[in-house]
Amino acid sequence: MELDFNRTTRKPRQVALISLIDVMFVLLLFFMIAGHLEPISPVPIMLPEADSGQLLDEGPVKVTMATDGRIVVNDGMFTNSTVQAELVRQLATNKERIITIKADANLEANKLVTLLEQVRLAGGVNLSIVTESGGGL
Amino acid sequence: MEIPRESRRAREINLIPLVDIILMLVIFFMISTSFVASESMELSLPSGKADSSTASTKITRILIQSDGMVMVDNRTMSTDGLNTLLAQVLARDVDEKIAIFTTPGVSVQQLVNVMDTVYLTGGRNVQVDKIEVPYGT
Repeated sequence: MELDFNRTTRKPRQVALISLIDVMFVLLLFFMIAGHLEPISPVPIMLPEADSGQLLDEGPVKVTMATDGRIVVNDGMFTNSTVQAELVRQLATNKERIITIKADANLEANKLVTLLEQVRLAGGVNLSIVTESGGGL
Repeated sequence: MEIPRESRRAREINLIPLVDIILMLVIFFMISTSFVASESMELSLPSGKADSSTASTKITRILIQSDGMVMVDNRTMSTDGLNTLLAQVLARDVDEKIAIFTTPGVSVQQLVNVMDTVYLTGGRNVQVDKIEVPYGT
């Protein structure tokens, strides 16, 4: 009698781990495939929304412009006056290098155009601005 | 009698550490993946000077005001009006040059909106430049 009683209490305690693992594997695969990992931006950026954006081909020169005037070129922090020397250095080997600009949506557009002028003076030709697709996914 | 017992014991894998690791991976991917797709728009550089080669081809100049309205040929219109105007212009000549001018107070989002309209109506020859004088309310 005692042995039987012990058995019935022990059995419900065993959790079916296999189904738990199955579900977690499915979740793991979903997040690995559906999402994508992104490097964390050194300055907070809210990308502008656009409908006509095309597939992003990120170039070797990444320029990030925050609303407070900070400019980040490939992890190096620059200001409006020092960024041009860096752009010249980045474009020294190849003027055709693609420059990807991430500008905050609330940044004044004239500041973006000022940067474009500096890119032109540095000799750059290929550049694109990063946007976010408008209607969610 | 003892040999089958031992071989059965060795076959049992301890699943708990596996579940731990998968749970860690699931949490990592849940936190670090982003589902917002980044896209890109091509940008053309401001010419910086009065381009002599454009004398033969007509340029449509779009001036963005700080209130989000645009001005083309001294006529102020909304983005919808710009849409119909550009459709007419581009029906005449698909490669017509379109110059977008930003003024002080215009945000990058407003610039991207106008570029969006131009690209969606089929414009390809787009340049961005700036004006230092404020327009609009």
